[in-house]
Amino acid sequence: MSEVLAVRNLSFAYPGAEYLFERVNFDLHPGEILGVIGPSGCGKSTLALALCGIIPHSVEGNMQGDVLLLGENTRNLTVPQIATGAGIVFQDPETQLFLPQIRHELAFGPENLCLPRKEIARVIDEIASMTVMEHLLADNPNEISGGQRQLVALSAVLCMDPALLVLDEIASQLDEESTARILEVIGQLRDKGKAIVMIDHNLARLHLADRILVMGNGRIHALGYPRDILENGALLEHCFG
Amino acid sequence: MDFWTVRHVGFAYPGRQPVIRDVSFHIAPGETVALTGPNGSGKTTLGKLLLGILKPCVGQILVEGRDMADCSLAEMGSKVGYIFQNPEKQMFAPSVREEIAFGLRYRGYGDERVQEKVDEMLDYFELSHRADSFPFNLSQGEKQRLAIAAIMALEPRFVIFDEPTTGLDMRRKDRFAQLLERTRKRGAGYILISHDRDFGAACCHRQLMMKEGKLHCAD
Amino acid sequence: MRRLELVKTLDPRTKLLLVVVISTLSIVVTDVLWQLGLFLFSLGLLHLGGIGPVKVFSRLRRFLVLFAAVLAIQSLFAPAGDPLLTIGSLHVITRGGLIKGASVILRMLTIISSAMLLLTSGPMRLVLGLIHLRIPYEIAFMVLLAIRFLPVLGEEVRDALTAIQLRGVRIKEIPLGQKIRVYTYIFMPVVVSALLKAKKTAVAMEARAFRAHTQRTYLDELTLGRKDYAIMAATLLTGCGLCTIYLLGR
Repeated sequence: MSEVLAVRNLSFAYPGAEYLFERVNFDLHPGEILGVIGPSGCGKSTLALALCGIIPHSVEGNMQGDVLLLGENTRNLTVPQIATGAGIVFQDPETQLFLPQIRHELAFGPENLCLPRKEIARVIDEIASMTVMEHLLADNPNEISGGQRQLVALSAVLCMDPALLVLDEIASQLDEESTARILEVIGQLRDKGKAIVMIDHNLARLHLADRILVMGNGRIHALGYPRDILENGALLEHCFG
Repeated sequence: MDFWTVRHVGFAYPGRQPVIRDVSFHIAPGETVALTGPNGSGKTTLGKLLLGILKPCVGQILVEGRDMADCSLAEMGSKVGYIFQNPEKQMFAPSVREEIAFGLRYRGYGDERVQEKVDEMLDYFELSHRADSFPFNLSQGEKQRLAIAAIMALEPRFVIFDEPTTGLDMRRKDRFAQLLERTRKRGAGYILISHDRDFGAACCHRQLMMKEGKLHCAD
Repeated sequence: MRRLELVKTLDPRTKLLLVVVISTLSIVVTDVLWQLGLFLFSLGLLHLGGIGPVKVFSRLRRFLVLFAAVLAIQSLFAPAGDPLLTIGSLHVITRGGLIKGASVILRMLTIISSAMLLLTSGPMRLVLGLIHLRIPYEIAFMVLLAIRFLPVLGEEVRDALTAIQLRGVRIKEIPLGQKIRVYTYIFMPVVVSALLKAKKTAVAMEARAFRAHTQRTYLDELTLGRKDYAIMAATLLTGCGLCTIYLLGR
């Protein structure tokens, strides 16, 4: 099977700053989960932006190397075009929700993809029952808790059914019950053949990952299988003190 | 005397179902309390009630024996520090340094003392390299640290942290636990609003469990 | 309850026509009694749409200073009729000036309150209405975001003021000079952070494929019902009729 995502010698620096990461390389195939871990401020969120084209299109800085999504270079596509293949859930759910009702929020993506009305309604039902938030559909996204907002942001992206999902710390404000449910959903998505990049600072939540990318201090420390990484005490010690 | 006395407090946002229902408890000075519960259980709302950012619809909250209805926000703010879940909510200054200095200066500290204290905070919270940055341009983790630094500089007698461990890696979590210990040793109390029960249990005298707007076990 | 439904379920396009006709009429007629009638009519419509007079007046309150100024200026610079208040040889308030001022204010009140009728639709339906009027969807969504972000700016100011008070500043008790200093201090950060948020939201919209195609579909449907056509026709007829009667009667 061909890869969904191919990252080739990817480096990035914000204007006037040092490289946050240099020469990152990896491939991601359908049904694979890549976990990304590292201390705060090491560039995990920035990597996420680069994977779905927001870097270089909407964020200033110096990007070297290429990101190929479904075989196409993200440099040659617009952000909305990339979004038809790659969905991102941002770390901060506040600014990514902007419509008056949660059902509008879930409908927004499929509407942009020009899905027929009935199909949109069906997708919303399906996703809302998957993430157990049917009871919230008529609510205003401004009036729910932070954790619930993360669920809405995830559901809104899932409604677009992208081949690649980039999830940036989506469980950070969730309680145990919601976290367990989200991890279950992620497992189901993998089984459906989605390629998933899961960023988290908590190794325990990355047990689903097939491979783990360890970031820190301006470089990639390792890319390997979870068991090897977890057993590599020296590496963890080095990265997390 | 209790620091906080909460009597049969209920709260609902206008035109909505109540989020807090008939909650009563006491908190003693210097006590350390974990306020835990699932998402949407009313933890944050309760925290805001304790500070007077929101006013109870029914019931009464006393702070050091006085009805909080008679206290201004500024009065509460000089006793209690509040760290919002979203650190952006409490930032208003044009630079990181100014953000920390603001409260100190308003307290009437001299320039030199302000400078000293700000430098100490920048150092402790590892923000020295960002001292002159615009606060809204920091990374999420840095914003969080700045929010805590700006409040801790004022050495409040009580601190309410709303989900402080969100997004912290293991090393930062350890650092945060050390900060809590320092606060405790200074004789100040704190309330940790968190769904992370293990962390709460490790750092606090007692736990208050919220569920669907009610307090489940008071001790 | 059913009356409330009637106005709420009207198509936003029908409401837009109502607003246009009412505002046009209020500009055409200059007679105070006619204008009062128009204002009362739009109040009645708002009431049916679930915005009672109390709510309307609380929203109009912020224009109070403006109204007072208009009244004073009209009286001072366009005096007519019996003087009601005279200082020295200057007629400060005259009956004619008062009536003219009242008519200008009524006109503004009518236009503002009839425009409020659009708010009874819910922002998403308004977007749909605009799109049906052949306005490009990018612009319709910009209108939606403007409606969404104006309160955000207010919220930012409130948050900053809360945060400042929580650092021990007694904002209500400090002298005006210091108060102004505090406001100017937070002005720049508040505006910049609101702009940053707007930019982040724009990126978030694109990241959900906004503008991927020249067309898009909509979950909700907007159809002009029989009721809408009836009300549109009635509005146009009444509007033209009233205009004719008024102009002939002069």
